[in-house]
Order: sequence, then C-alpha cells, then structure tokens
Amino acid sequence: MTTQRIRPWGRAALAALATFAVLAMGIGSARAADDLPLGICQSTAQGPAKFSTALWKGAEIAINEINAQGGVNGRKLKPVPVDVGNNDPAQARLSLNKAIDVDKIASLVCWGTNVMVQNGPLIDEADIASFTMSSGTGVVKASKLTQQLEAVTTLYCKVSAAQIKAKYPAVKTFAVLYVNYEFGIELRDKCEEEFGKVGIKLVASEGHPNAPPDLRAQLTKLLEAKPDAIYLGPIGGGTVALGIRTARELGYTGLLTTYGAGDTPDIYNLKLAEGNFFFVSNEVPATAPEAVKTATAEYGGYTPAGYEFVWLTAKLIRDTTKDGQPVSGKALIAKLRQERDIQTPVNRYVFKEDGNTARPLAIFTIENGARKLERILSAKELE
Amino acid sequence: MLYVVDVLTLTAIMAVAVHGYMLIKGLAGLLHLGHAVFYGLGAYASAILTTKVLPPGSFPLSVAAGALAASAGALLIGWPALKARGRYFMIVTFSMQLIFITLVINLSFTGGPDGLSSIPRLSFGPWQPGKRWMLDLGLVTLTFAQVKLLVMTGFTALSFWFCSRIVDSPYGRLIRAVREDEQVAEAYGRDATRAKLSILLIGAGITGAAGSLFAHHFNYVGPSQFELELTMLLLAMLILGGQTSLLGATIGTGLMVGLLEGLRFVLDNWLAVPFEMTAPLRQAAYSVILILILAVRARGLIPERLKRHGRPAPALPPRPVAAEPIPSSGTVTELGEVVLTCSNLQKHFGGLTAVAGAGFSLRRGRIVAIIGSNGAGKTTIFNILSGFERADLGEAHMGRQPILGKTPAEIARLGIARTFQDVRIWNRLTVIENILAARPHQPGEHPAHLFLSPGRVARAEADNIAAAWTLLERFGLADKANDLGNDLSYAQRKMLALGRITAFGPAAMLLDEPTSGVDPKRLDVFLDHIRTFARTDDRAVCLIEHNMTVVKELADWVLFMDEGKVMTSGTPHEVLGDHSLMRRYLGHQKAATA
Amino acid sequence: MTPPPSILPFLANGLSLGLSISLVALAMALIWRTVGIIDFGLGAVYLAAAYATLFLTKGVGLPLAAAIPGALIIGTATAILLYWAVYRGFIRRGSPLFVTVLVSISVFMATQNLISAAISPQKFYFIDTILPGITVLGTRLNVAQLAKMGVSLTALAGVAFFCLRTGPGATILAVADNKRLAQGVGVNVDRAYGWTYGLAGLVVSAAAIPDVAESGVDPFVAINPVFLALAAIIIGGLGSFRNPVLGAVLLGLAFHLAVWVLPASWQEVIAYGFVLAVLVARPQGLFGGLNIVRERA
Repeated sequence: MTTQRIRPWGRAALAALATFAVLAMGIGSARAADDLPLGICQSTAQGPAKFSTALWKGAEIAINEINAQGGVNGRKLKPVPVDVGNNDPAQARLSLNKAIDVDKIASLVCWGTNVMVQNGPLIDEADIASFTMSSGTGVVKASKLTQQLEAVTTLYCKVSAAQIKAKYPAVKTFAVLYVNYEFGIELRDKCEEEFGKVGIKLVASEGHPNAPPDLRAQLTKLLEAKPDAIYLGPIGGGTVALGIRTARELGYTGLLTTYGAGDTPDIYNLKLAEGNFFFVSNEVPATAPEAVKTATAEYGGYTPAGYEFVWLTAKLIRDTTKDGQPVSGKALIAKLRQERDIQTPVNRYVFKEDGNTARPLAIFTIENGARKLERILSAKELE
Repeated sequence: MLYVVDVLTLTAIMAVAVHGYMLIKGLAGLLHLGHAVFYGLGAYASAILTTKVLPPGSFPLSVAAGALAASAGALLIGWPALKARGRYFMIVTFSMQLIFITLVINLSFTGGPDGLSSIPRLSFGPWQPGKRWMLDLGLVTLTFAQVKLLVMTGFTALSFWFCSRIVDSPYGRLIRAVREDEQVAEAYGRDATRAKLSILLIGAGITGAAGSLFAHHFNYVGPSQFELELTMLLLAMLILGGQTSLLGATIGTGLMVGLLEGLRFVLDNWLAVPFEMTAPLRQAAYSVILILILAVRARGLIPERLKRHGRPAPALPPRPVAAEPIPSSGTVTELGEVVLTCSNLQKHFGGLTAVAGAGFSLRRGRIVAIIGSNGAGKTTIFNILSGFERADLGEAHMGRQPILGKTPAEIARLGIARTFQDVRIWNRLTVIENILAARPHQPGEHPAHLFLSPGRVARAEADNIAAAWTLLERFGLADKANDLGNDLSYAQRKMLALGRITAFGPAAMLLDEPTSGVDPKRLDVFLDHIRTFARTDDRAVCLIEHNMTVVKELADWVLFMDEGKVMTSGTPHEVLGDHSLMRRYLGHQKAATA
Repeated sequence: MTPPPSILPFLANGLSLGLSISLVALAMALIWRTVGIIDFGLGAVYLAAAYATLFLTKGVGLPLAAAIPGALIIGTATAILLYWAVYRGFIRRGSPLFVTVLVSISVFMATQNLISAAISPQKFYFIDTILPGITVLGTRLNVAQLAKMGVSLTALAGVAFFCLRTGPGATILAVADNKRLAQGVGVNVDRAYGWTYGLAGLVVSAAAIPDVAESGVDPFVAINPVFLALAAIIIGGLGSFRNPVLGAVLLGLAFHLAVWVLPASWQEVIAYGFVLAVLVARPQGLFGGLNIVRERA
C-alpha cells in the first residue's frame, strides 16, 4: 500500500503537532501587559451549556461598555474562557490552572457544585476573587474567596412557597421531581421544609438521572399521589421543558413551578408553559441598561449575572486601587464584603461575610413567548 | 508554573493507565472498550479506603489496593467474557463501561453522583506533607506539586520497567502467540483462556494503580470522570503512539495531552473564535483531528519492537541434517510401543456425517499415512484427536489415558501434537520465537515466576534459546531466525511448522498435509525430516497426504478413508497397488502411475 | 403503604419507549451486520434530521407535513455522505474494529459540538402545543409516541420487504451474509454499502422526527437513542433484523416496569442490570446472533 509514502508524512505531521503544542504553551504566556483578564466558565454539558451562553452575553456587554470608556485604570478587560467540560472538576482544574498561571485572571465567574467545591482550595491558594452561579449551599463553604451571585436552594424554596401561599391558596399538597444528585436532593429537602412552614405538604417525590430522555415513569408515579403542585428540580437545561410537557400530556392540570433552571429560552419558546406555571429567577428592572434588557429577553435570565460579574470586578478593582491596596483576590473580596450593600446597574445586592448573598428574586410566568414579571422581592426583603 | 506541572502530572498518571491498556490491547490483542472502568475501580477503591478506613500516611497501601480492586473487577468481567471464546469480549467490556457509571451513581458508599472528596494527598507513613510543604535541596526549592510530579513520573518509569519485563519475557511471548493464533497455542499445550485472563488482570492492575494515583493527585473522584469519553481518550493515546509498543504508548499519551492543551491555546488565545464557541470547538477539533490521524496512520508511530536473539556460542558442533542412512521405505521389522489408539470415532455435522466409525493405532518409530478424497473425514479425525472437535462417539487413548473430551491444551500436554493444513505459524513472532514459544515446560511463561524466581527463568530461557538454535540449524532456518514469520516464503513456513512441532517434542505427531504446495524439487528435504521424526526421534507419526509419491516414500502403513470410514488399510504397496481403489480415489490418469 | 399503582400505564409507556428505541437499534443492526461497523455516527444522522425539521418548519416556514419528507431526505443523504466521505476509506483499508468504533464516535461527538458552536446549545421546539393523543391502558399516548410505534412496525416491515424483494435489498442481504461470496458473484459491495447506509439513515431520521417533535431539538438529543440502541442490540442479538427490535422492546419495558414498584432512581440500574444479566448469561443476545460481530482487534 502507500505506507511508504504515508510514513514519513505522518511522522512529520505528528512531530509538528507536538512541537506546535509545546510552542503554543510558551508563546501563549506572552500576554499584553495592560490587559485585565477575567475568567468566565464555559461548559459543553447539556444543562450548563445553555446558561453559559447567557452569562457570556451579559459579560460581553459590560466588557464592551467598560473598554469603550477606557477600561479599568487604563487596562482593557479581556475575557478568558475556562472550560469545565461536562461539569467535570478535573477538567475544570486544568482549565483553571491555565487561566490562573498563564492568563493571570483577576477574577472568575463559574458554576457547578462539584466544580466549585473541588476547586475551592485552588481558588483560595491562587488568591483569585471568584463569583459563583451555583445554587448549592456547600460552594461558599469550600472557599473563602468565593461569593454567591445566585440564590441558594433554601431561598428559592422559600420564595416559591410564599408565592403559592399568596397567589394559589387552593394548593395544599405538592410533589417534587428532582435530579438525583446532591443538589437535587438538597432542593427537595429544603422545599419540603419551606413549603411545610406555610402549610403545604409534600406527598410524593421521585428522582431522575441527569438529562433524562423520558420522564413519564416518574411523573406517572407522582400523579398517582394527586398533588396540587409539582416542583421541578433538575440541574438545568431541557429537563424543565420535558417535565412540563410530559406532565401536561399525562393530563396534569395543577400548578408547576421551578427555580432559575426554568429561565432559559427553552421555556420562553414553550407554549405549554404559558398556563399554571411560574418560576423564580432574576429580574432585569426597567432601570437596567437597554442592552442588558434586550439580551436577557433573547438569552435568558443568567444574562444580567454575567454583566454584573464584570461590573463588580471593575468596581472592586477601582475601589481597591483607590485605597492604595494591591489588587488581589483577598483584597477584592474583602472590599466586596466591606461595602456589603451594593447597587449594580441592574440589581441591589447584600454581600454577606460568609459568602452567601441576599439578592433580589423575581417571580415570572410565561406569556407570548417571553417571560412576564409578576413580582419582585428585593434583597432586603429576603435577607 | 502550576499549570504545566499539573498537566505533566496528569500525563504521567495517564501514561501508566495506557501502559496497562497496551498490555491488554497491544500485547494480547484483546479488544477492550472499557478501560476507564479499571481506572475508575482503582480510583474509587483508593478513595473509599483512604477516606473511610485507612489511617493517614497509607498512600502506598492505597495504590496497592487500587491495583487489586481493578484486577478483581477484571476477573469478574473477564472470566465469563473470555470463556465465551473472546468474541463477546468487546461487547462485554463496552457494556461494562456504559453500566459502570450507572452503578457508581446509585450506590451510596461511592458517594453517589457527587463523588468522594477530601482524598488525602501523597503520603508515606510519617511523611504527610501539607499543600504548602516545600523540599529544600539547597540549590533549588521544590514545591509540593513539583515533588508530586517527580513521584508520579517515578511511577511511570516503574510501570514502564514492569511492563517491559513482561513484554520481553517468555510470558510476553506466550501472550503474543495467543494473540496471533490462539488455537495453535492451545495445540501446543498452552491454556489460552488462562493466559488471556492473566494478562487482563495484570493490565487492569496497572491501570487500577494509575487510578489510585489520580485519586491522590486530584483529591476527588466522581462518576463523570470515568465515562466512555475517557476510554476513547486512552484508546486514542494508545493507537496514536503505536499500540504494540510500550514506548509508543508512552509517547502517544504525551502527544495526545499536548494536542488537547495545544488546542486550548489555539482556540482561546490565537484564533479570533467567538468566546462561547471555544469549548465546543475544542471538542469538535479534537474529534476531527483524531479521525484524520486514524485515516493517515492508524498503525501508530512506533511499531512492535522485535527481540533479536543472538546465536549462543556453540558448545557442540551443529547437528548435521539427516546424517544417518535412511532405511528404505517399507515395513519396519520391530514394532514400536503403541502410543495412540482410537476406535469407532464418529462425528456428524448437522445432517452430514464426517466420520463414521474410524479407528487405528500409532506406534513409536512408525509412519502411518491417511489418504482419501476431500471430505473423507481425515482432518476431522485429526481435529478430534487433538481436541479441536468433539466426537459424537468413539474412544481414543494416549497410552492408558483417555483423551476424548479433554481440551486441546490438555491433550497436547499428554504428548500429542499436530500441524495444520493452512500452516498457521505465528505471523508476528520471529522465526526463532515460533520455536521458542512451542517448547514445553517454560517457567518463564508464568508471570509469578518471572518476578519471584528470575534466575531460574533466565537459565531456562538460555537453555531454550540454545535448543532453538539447534533446531533452526536442523531445519535450515538459522539465517532467518530473527525474521518475522510473516516474511517467510510458503515452503519456509511449512518447514517452520515442522520445526515448531519438533520443538514441542510430542510422542505422537499428527501432520496435516505437511508437503502440500511444496515445490517438488524441495520435497526430499521434507521427506527426510519426517522420516527422522519416526526413525531417529522415535515418535509415532501420522500423516494426511494427497501426494502418492510421498506416501510411497514415507509410510509404513496406509489407511484409505472414504465417506468417513476406513475402507482399507495395509502397506503402501498393497493399498496403492489396488488399482480399482486408486481409480475410485484418483481418477483414471493417476491410477496408471500409482 | 399505598398499594402499587396499576401496571398498565407502565406497560404502555414501556412498549412505546421500546418501539422508539427499536428504530435506531434496527438501523444500527443493519449497518453492524452488513458493513461490520458499530456506527455511533448514526447520532450525527439523527441530529441532521432533527435540525433539518427545525429549519424547514421554523426557518423556512413549511408546514410540518411538508417538512417531514424534506428532513427524511436530508437525514438519508447525511448518512450516505458520511459513508462516502469518512467510513468508506477505513472500510476499504480493512481497518480493525476498534479504529472504526473510534472514528464513528468521533463523528458523533464532532457533529454534536459543531452544532453547539455554530447554532446554539439551546433547545428549540417546532411543536409548541400539547400533542394530540389518546388515552389507552390508563395512560395518555400522544401522536408522536403513536407515530413512533407505527413507524417502527412499518420500518421493520419495510426493511424486510426491501431486503427480500428488491434488487438492491438483496445485495444488502448477500453482503451481510457473506461478503466474499457476494463479491465473487459480482455484487458491487460499495454500492450495497451505500444502500445500507441510505436505508439506515432513513430509519434513523424516521425515529428522530417524532422524538424531537415531542421533546425539542438541541445538540444533545441523540445521545440517549444511540446508546440505548446499542443496549437493545446487546439484549436482542443480531441473528435476524427482528432481534434488536425485540431487544429494544424488552429494554423499554425494563425501564418502565423497573419504576412500577421501585423508586424512580432505580430506573437506570435495573435497566442496565438487565443488559448485564443478558450479557453474562447469554452473550449472543437473548434471541441469538451477536457472534456475527467481526472482530479484528
């Protein structure tokens, strides 16, 4: 065969590849000295891939805005992607190491309970200020330099329960359909607690694997218990939509509700979500920048979080340097928690010492292919 | 740089896993699509033990436990899979890969879908360094991460050494023989299933150790880390470097990691790829490049390294070929000891009767020829006697031992060996290795002896090699000793087959058409060898032959078979002189010349 | 303790899931037996048909009835194209099985990620309302599910008819049975393979369209069908084209019956445990024939 011809070519190609890889690592480290790199996580997993786009779009708006005004202390903001693969902590660590060592990121926004918990010590050691969009309560416990931008499970459940009590008084029982991970189990347990506090009883719960093809079995069982409401607790992505469709098809007419996982265009596009369904997520008030409002309508509720991450980082760096302090993760987070009550162009937050954050949440329904704001609860109300 | 150190550490760990894969897939030829399962078993075993059971400082014990856990898993998977003659092995391992994650997620002691955290770091008894631990060597100070890299690289070197020992040993040679042609290995007394299972356990153990190293390096294990994606990555690393080469496997690991990390740089830092596309594009680019690599060079960079055996200093002058006067063909006056008897053999394939009551005996020093047209049942009888087919009825004895119903390896060990109609030498073993692999009683074929009594193994191997050279001289193949079996001409292969069966040294030799397709000019050499087997080596020889000249020259006794039965038997003169019989068998033209 | 619910809805759902898996299993079996490859690249075909339907309905604005034939054609063409552009080279060279497995998985992964990068990882729907349906055996089966069941039975009959009664189909059977012999009597193996891929592509597209009508289109929708199809083949065997279909039905039933009395978190364990049990107890598949796998390590 043509092995004789291929052999030297193949070898040469592979040798070139190897050299190239080595060189790339070396050359890549020569970074423009006046850049200010910010690490933004990316994911190829089914669930997170959807809202990572939203996060990026929001961040992009802020980066362009700030750079147009001259950057931060004369330095242009530069986004650095941190690939966490399939929410894989080991993959995340490799990317994070590169972002820290080579790209020298000044701050990070990321998600995934496992990803954040396992890499918490690395973040602390590298002295990087990091923000998380993960709802697991364990995340900020694993790192001293990580601050929540997202509401945690307890809060979500509390808000849902309050809304049901106020607007759907006929609901006396509920069921939970949760992803069979620690996060989902936590969500189920917290909701049982919070709903119980307002007199709504948990009558059934079923777990499902991540990104299931089919929820009929689980929903059939839940419906046997005839709940007045069903709380959907997946990790994110298409599972909420699947849950809503399947429930309605099986003849369920009761209330469906979920947390921020429902805040994606998957759901906006779902006609079936337009009745007897609400979710708790993040609102973009009328006072927010136009660009953010438009992007949120297109990409979903995680868009403002990306914007705010960039905005907060810029603000903290400016404030820290104004104080004459060196810019380090510790300094930035300390400043954040010292200032505590911060109004960004979008939201008002209360950044607590332990890493948790009181942030406004809003209740949405779906109408005409878009989310419709029903009610906002401010950070102060939820503190 | 922490990043580079981290990447290199992971590379070192994965190289160990790929070494294990090389043993299973490259050396043994087992198509194994569940390698990440072994890695995961080792990682989880270490994680569970060190977080729940073992005291701090027990890193070495944990690695050993990881290796054991993976080997145990291999035994569970391998035993049923290999027993079903290996074809299902790929399916079973692939299914295990798919199922492993589901099992791990649903069991609580594995930490479920969230995995196990806080796995202790490297430690050794009282040395339990914290993350900030430094090693001050005077000239340089090494961080913990750098020391860890050195330790992991040390493990890579250790596994390289260990696997090299295996590859170069008689055991490695046996595994390769089984890879090339498992049935022939059995025909020479080796238990192929046990060999494959043993290499599977060893390869799995090494991979499990790598998994342990990973657990202690990363301090977290979770189910998403051991999925099909990882098996495919390990397979790609193995293939890229050259699956039959240990060095190739190691280099392939480095290259693949280099590719993946290089892609990261290309997409993140160089090309103006839109931000949200970098992660999926990296995965896509990796997949496409892999396809291209497979299209261009699926054989990998480095080919199998062949061991060259040097000729030892001769203690005795080389033995001449067929020096003694060959007694003329015809009857041997003294009847040798009966070695093999069989009677009333019957074999049906569906509606077809292959053998319908055949029987004969073989004596030392005598050559019996079986002739008959195709489909007369001759090779089937050989298959029955050597254990490759099961007789429906009948009896056969080797000495006093009944042989029907035994496995081919068991029968061979009783002293019967056979050659095959289609020759079937071990193609990717060298000529001398073909001889060496057939010689019986090699302590080096047991992995335990390899490491526990290396001296004995080395001595036996030296004797083996000396004897092999003698045989090669005898059969005229000495100048081809280090050539691949594949590179021989047809006649040379047939000669090698004779040499190989001689190396095995059976009391009874069943030769299936040993001279078919051989150039008539070279026939004499073959005849001399076969005659020597009987007269000089005092073996019982049975031939299947179609060449009447050969039969006349060699045979002391001829059996004529037709339609599965022995129609007639007698001296060559009697049988071949029976013109009506010959006409029936050969057709008109040959009967005239018989 | 409340009494266990009626088994009927679980039977109905299980049968429906099984017939849904059976289409991809049939396609995979067709290629496995004829060409000798385990073709994960069928996932790429699935995605092609799914996104084609989306594009034709939402992008171009065709009604669903017109979009479906278009998507079927695109899916079939994708399958044949993949054969010509990618697999044929490897097959001609006699590439061993592990190489073709790696190649087909890479094709699948590359397609998935390219779509994610180029279009978006978001899920899109082309049917926004509740699909009409009927209530049977205590559960509601919608038209997509009914369509899938109907399509699988039609596909099975159709493939059988095609292979037994038409010229090109006969070449597929011949090559599946004994390639060398078929070549010997003048069958153009390359063309037979082309037909095989076309047929398999058509079947997979027919599976994809009702699936995504129900649960939406995103780059990750093909993962489950492909791997469940493989599991179905392992359970059923490859002896005749009927076997993987039967295996798929059993697998679907296993998935749903497992949940009938046990908590839903056991679903995967039981279903895969079933696969494992078949593998250990009867490796050639429950109905036989998995030993036709060509193995050249």
